[in-house]
Amino acid sequence: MTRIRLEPEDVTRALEGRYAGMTPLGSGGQGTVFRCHRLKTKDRKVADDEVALKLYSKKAEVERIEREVQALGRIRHPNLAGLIEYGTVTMGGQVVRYVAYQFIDGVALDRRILASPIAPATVSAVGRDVAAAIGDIWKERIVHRDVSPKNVMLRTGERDAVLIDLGIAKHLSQAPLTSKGTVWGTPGYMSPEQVAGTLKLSCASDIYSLGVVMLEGLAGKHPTDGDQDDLINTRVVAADVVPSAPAGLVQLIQRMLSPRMTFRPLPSAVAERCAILAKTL
Amino acid sequence: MFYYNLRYHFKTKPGSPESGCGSIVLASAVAAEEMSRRQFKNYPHLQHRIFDPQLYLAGLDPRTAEGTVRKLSSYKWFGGQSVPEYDSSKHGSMKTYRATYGEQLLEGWSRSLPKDLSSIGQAARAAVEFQLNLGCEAILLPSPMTDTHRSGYQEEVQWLDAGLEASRELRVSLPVYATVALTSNVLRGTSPLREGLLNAVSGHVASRERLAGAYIVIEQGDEQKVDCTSGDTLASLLLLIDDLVRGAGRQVIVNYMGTFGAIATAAGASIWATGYYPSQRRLRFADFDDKEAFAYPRYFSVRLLGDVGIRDDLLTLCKRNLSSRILTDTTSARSLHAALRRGEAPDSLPLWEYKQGNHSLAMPHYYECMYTFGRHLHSMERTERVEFVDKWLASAAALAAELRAVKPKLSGRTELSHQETWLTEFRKWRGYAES
Repeated sequence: MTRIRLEPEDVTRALEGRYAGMTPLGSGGQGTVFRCHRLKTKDRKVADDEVALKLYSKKAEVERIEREVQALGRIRHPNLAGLIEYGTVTMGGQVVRYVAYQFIDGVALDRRILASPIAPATVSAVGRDVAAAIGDIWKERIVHRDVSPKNVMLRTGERDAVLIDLGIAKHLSQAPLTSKGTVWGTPGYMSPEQVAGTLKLSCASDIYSLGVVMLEGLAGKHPTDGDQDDLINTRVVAADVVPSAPAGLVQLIQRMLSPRMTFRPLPSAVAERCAILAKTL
Repeated sequence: MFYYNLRYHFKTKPGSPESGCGSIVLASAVAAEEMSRRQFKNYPHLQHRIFDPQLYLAGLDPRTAEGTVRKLSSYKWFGGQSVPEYDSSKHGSMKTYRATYGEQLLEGWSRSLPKDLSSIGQAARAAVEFQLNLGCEAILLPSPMTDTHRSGYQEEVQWLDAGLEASRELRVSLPVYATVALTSNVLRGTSPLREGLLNAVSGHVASRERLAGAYIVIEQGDEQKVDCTSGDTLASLLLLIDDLVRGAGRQVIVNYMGTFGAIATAAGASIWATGYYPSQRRLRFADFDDKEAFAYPRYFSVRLLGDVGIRDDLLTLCKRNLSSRILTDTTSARSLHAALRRGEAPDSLPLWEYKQGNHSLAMPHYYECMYTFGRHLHSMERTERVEFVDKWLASAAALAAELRAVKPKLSGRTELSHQETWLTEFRKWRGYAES
């Protein structure tokens, strides 16, 4: 199947009467994303809610979108980008799938970190919100598997964060997307057990990844410069990476980075501790 | 805390400890229709009781273990829902009921477990309900035996979540434990610290907030001795306990590890269960095979952390002035010790005579040893307990080495092959835990 060019005007035309004001946000392995407004069904007027609209056409993308839709269909959480609707349109004679999410007004954490290290109170707020989201999806026995700065949105004002993109999230009962042994996730953020790729993961893997994200936020750079092997083969000492950071936050991150799953705190414990730190730091 | 690992008979012999301990009751020991009618209130040691549904025995072969399979198959989680529940007004005696439905249950024993989530859910719920009705102090969620790395712990996780869902639906307020059942085969040949399976097992228990902890049993199919001699198995057990207790703040119950269960309390296990007979001290599928043999009595030495042969070795060692290092004073052993000091053989005392089925005093002696040793360990703070166990193991290993050098050689009934391994693995674990 040839890849379709998803120009804003073509998408607007294809979704005429439902979405308007397409602004491209990005394009890559996860499809093409537009920011737009959803139109009210009755009078086709612009609704209040802004939407992030993802469009996919490739087979691998379709599998991911269906997985994400399944995952998000079960969960509603303030720290997860909510699913509004999904469907298909025909463009250029080909079927294109789309998903509309609640638009998060803010900046992805990877871009924010490029600007400067993040204040401990803000990192704590990120920990509080993302851990809460991880805990909630784990109640449905779903593991996100790709908690990384690009998938954490820091809302404008930097007081709260939202976890996005459950495209490779996996319910425990689900089969792998591809052949056995394939490792899913973003290098530099994966837990040792995720890299091993053979056993059932739990929320502890997402907590490990969140620990890396928080440490990177505090330091303003990845603790092993993005090297996955270094991350799991050399014991990262958080206090060495961010010597001037508050001790309570550093100790929490250190536990989140424990190579053994049971020594990592539960999502609820991370959220609770981070909530206190976000208020007091 | 020490718990009896009970078989068919719940009544203990006179001299056995009754209070300050508890009991684990096994599905393989008593059929469902009888278990649900047993009177627990008559036995002090059953006031703290836990029931093990033993789903991990689903692979037993009815051609060799027919007696056990008949009992297990009567429970709903093994397929017992295919026959009506026993009702004396309808079915008459239990004997008649078994005659009517026993063959049907036996024929339905497939040596495999359901794979679909609906059937798993029903079976898990039946196991939880049964334990609630039995008045247990905690619920053990059923789990299959983990005998391969290949499945990636998928099946076990399905059973675990089905059990948790059943506990939620039934509004269980008791502590709920995940059963962790592993074969020693999956633990052999790799460093436990690098063993991804162990990390996943403890990780899945730790990531479920509702769980109070884990109930751990390890099948030792290739163990020839009564006491575990596999370093990998022992190291894995200590690491699992450490992960769950020190790492995740959970409780651990250990069964079928003999006296090593007491050693495991130093790593954090809160309850350990064992029993007098070898089949209660270790878990081996072969021990469930139908047999007619009656066991000989065994004399347990706490200082040696193992049995000493009654027939020949006890008197030999006492004559060599080793009595103070071998004998363990209990109410049941006083007459035996007095006879040995007089230079008389145990056979001179009918209740200690070395003959099949004669356990009148050997059994309560063993249980008093376990109870007293366990209570002593329980009374200590964790660091003190670790230090104490280390010294105790070192002393037992030294004693075993000394006894191995005795000429002429002691009989094979004196157990001298496990102490050094226990000490080595305990110290390895200690080094890891304290680093």
